[in-house]
Amino acid sequence: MIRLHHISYRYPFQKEFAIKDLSLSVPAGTITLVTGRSGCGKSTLIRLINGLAPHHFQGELQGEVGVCGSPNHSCSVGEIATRVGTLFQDPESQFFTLIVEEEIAFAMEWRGLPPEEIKARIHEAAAITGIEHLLEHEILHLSEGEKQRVALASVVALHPKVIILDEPTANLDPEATRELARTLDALAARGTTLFIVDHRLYWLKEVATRVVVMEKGRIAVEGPFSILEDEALRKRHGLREAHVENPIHTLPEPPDDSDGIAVSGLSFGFPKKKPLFRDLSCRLPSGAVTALVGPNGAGKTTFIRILTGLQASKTGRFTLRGTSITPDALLKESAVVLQNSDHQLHMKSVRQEMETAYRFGRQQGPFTVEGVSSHLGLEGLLDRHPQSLSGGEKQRLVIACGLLQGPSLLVLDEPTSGLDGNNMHLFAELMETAADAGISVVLISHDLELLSRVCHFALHLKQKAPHTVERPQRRHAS
Amino acid sequence: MQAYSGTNNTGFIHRLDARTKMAVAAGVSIVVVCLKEPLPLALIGIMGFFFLLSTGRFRLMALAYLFIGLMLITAAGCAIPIIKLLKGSDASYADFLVPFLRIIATMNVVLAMALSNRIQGMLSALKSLRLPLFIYLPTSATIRFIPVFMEDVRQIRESLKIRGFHIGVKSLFLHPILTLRLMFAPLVIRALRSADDLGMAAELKGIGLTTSSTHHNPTRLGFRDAFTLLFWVLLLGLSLGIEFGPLKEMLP
Amino acid sequence: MLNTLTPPTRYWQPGELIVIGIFSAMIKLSSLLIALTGGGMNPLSLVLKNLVATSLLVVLVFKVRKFGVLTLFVTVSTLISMLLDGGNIIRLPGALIAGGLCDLVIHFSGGYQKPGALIAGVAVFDLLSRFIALGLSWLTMREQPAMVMVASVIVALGYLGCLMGLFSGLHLSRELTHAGVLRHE
Repeated sequence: MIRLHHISYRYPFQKEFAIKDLSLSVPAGTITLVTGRSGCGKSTLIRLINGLAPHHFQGELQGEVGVCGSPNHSCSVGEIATRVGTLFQDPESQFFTLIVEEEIAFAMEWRGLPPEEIKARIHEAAAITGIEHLLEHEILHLSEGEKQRVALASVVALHPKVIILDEPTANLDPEATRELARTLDALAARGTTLFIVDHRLYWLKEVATRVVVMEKGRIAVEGPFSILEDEALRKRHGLREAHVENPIHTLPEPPDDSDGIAVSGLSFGFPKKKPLFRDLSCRLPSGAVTALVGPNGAGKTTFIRILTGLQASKTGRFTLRGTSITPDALLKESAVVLQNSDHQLHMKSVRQEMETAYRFGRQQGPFTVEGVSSHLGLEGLLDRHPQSLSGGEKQRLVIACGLLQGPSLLVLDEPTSGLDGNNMHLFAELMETAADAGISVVLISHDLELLSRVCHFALHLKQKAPHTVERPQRRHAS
Repeated sequence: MQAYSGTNNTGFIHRLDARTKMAVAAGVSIVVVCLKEPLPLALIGIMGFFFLLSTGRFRLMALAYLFIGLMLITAAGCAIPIIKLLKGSDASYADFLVPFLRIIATMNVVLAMALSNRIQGMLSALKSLRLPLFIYLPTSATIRFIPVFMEDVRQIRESLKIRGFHIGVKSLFLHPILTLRLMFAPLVIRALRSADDLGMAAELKGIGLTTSSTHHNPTRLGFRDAFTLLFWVLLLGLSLGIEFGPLKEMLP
Repeated sequence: MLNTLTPPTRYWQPGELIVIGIFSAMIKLSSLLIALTGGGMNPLSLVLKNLVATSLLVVLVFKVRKFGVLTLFVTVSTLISMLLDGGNIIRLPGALIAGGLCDLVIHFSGGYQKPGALIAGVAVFDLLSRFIALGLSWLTMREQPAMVMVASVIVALGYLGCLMGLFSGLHLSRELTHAGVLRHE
């Protein structure tokens, strides 16, 4: 179905080849997982199969790529798209409309399919991806998992023979990840060839036909999923774990006698909506990392917004290290690292970015620009433009800016989505550094490996009747 | 604005096709420029006011009227010294009436459209206009990204607030360049990256393989639309008739 | 059926069309945002809002360097104004003429690969659009020319922001190119 024959590819103005003499053959109806450390050439491989390289990115290509027997070099990207569908990491980046049904129909309409056929395909794709009940919904109001299914449905409706998925689980919670694995298995059973590039491995254990591990533009190892059981291999190639236990239910609740930030008597709900919190009391210990967990709609974001003073609440009492504190004062004590680092980078150089964060912050605490940049490995990048950094470097810069504010509370929202094993571990070390400096670190994440690796406590927010839940086991002492 | 707020209403005007409201707004905009008598302009203005009332968005209406009122008063306040300078004691302020009526008449219908159009309705209306891809694709991208950018603006403002920088009138006056940089640099980056991603997504979905599109769920003009169009055609015809035609003797 | 499709020769690539659409949204919202933050009639926000709009327009023409970019931008922008915030449809013909003329200015002053020509095109575009807006103001307020004079002062103040925006737009485009974010289509 997919055949790459002695492929070498180099992007324009680059000395190094991103892919070097790579040959690969993928049979129809199989699920292939491609993994490897960041920069190993996985994304380039996808672009070669869907035709973006070299048609869109240009550059130099040697060898031949063929899908369904047709060579890619003689077809436009649009023609290749009639055989190959691609699902991006961030589903929102590929939506053209605002309503689910319109989105699934969009590409079919612009390909000139008859209206009756479009309607039939919409319902077929919605049934396969389990979104029949969402067809009339607004896309922007859906959860990340639902958005991912809508994006997949819009690809499936085009009836491609091959579907490429680029980091499909980066933004998904564990339940949505399991659901996606089931859907992909069903698609493969219908004869669709699936080509998945991902850093997260565990979710494909039951469904992947074959695993390809890449290193420096070449295939390093390939075989069944069981090759990933080898810890030495995973370490050698900077991979994540092959099996992950959900740590949420084994992490202890923050102890009542811990110092740090304490919330008591917090009740909150949006007008005309069910209350999110009733008389909520909890603690976020200083010097520890606390996972904030709960299902979609449990109010994790709202809780953080109240805690950082962004959302006003008439109820609730807040104390910091035993002293009562107002929400306005809490705002000055907080730093937040969002998932989208682009939203938090404003200046012309890494140095300016860090200096501005320090200037606007409390200008106290143990961190200085020189100290933080040296500790986080940013000292060689100080004169670079923040937007020219890699994803992992940007995340490090954003957390550096957070530390330079000198906060008592550091909130991180999905900081490791899309990061490989090495970068994830590096990030975990940064969080430990922050906790060691006496900061209350709060982590909102679906990344089970990160939660396992770094969290000391878990604060559970439950839908409808939110409260903290006592958990029996304790993994780390603060 | 309804389009910006995304709220859902089911009143008469909300169920009109966006094309009908566009036609009414276009007709009124053209006719009021041709008219110079207060009576026909007032007639269009009053009917337009009822059209606007049917949106049920009274608070936003009041705000819009307040805003336009302030603007007109400011403009008139600045214009009066110029008139006195030019005409001295012969200055007459009666000539303000006709321009004000034109502005109010146009504002009523375009505001009615803006307050009652939903973003998705606009996308459907655009599709039903059978625009070519090179106009439809950028227009739909604009509409699609307006709510996204509004959310981005909120997130950036909040992340700056947490960093200790409050964006507002004070920062705009005290540090205008820094404020613009902090606010807009991430937005421009986001715009460029989103454009690259969506451009690739369009290629990968095979958009542009044909020059025309089909429409799986076409919107059709209904009785309400026909009634509204007929009403406005008659009203605009009547107004033109009063000023230029056989009804001219109605004028004082 | 799909395999038999042959792509027609396209002048506009989807990526270019989407850039134009996204920048129309940005320019519209940024003007609205500054007006809401600083007040619509406040001279400073009037200058700043035009400064930002022109800067973004400069980035757009640096990104999509193709004849017709300003004409298409102005078409999309007017359509959106009409649908979203009640922009007047009678602006369309004038706006189309302004866009078309300025594309010609860029074409004949060195072409789309020359930054100087792009800046000149945007400068003339801003100027022409404002003349057309004043012409429309005259149509609406012709009985009271003093009001048109007041409008002229406001428009002139706005154009001051545009002139500043030409420099900041050029500066921003260079910075974005240096950062690797701005690669022209």
